[in-house]
Amino acid sequence: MTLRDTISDDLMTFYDTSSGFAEVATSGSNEIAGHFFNDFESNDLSDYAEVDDSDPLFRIRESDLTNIVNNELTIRSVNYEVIQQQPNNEGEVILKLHEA
Amino acid sequence: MHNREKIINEIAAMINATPNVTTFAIQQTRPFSDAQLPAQNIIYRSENATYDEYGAMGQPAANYRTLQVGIEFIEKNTDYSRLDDFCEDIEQAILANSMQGTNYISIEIDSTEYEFNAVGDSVLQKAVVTFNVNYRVADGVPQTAIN
Repeated sequence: MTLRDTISDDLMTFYDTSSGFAEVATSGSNEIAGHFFNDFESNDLSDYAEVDDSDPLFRIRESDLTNIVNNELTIRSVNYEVIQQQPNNEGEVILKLHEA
Repeated sequence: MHNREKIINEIAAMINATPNVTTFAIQQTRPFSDAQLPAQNIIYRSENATYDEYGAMGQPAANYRTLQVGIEFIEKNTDYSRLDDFCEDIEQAILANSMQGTNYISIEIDSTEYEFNAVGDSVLQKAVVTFNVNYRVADGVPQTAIN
């Protein structure tokens, strides 16, 4: 077994939605397992005051990229648009999202 | 009260009825929450003064001053035409009253700047319309305009 196969097997566990930490997003009729992050951040757009913001990201397996339809994802009942793909070149991609 | 503050209050009264704004603020430095957007924030930019040793006829020496006031509009939206709508509303509200101030001589539009930021969960956009407000006070008496 190659190192790449081992990593791929490990990812299967990491993206287990029934007993793991992954959750299911939908895109069209497809279901995609991933890890959702939506950390708070302060945006300094204003000259005087900051603006409350958040930074939604969804980490998925690279092999699931083809299941994303029209760059649209629904996570926790919120519709998002994928605006950037950030591959880690180890079998995973972090999707940067905007609320649709 | 410094005449600057009176001018800001006068401008605030002019634009208080700007449509499609949820939060109306004067120099707010606390963060704006999602629920407060779209927000409008009146901000001081700067002030320049020119000393006039002789002042007006029979009057003490005076300061001619130009106060720069910016009016920020901030919202989360991808409809960029909203910024132009805001600028239109602000310009109409202020320039319609440009020669009627009790605490200033005149107001002129100076600049309009747009800024966009797509770092967060949606596009944040900002427009700032800056006005130059000209006024005059007696030297050492900044609280009273002598227009």
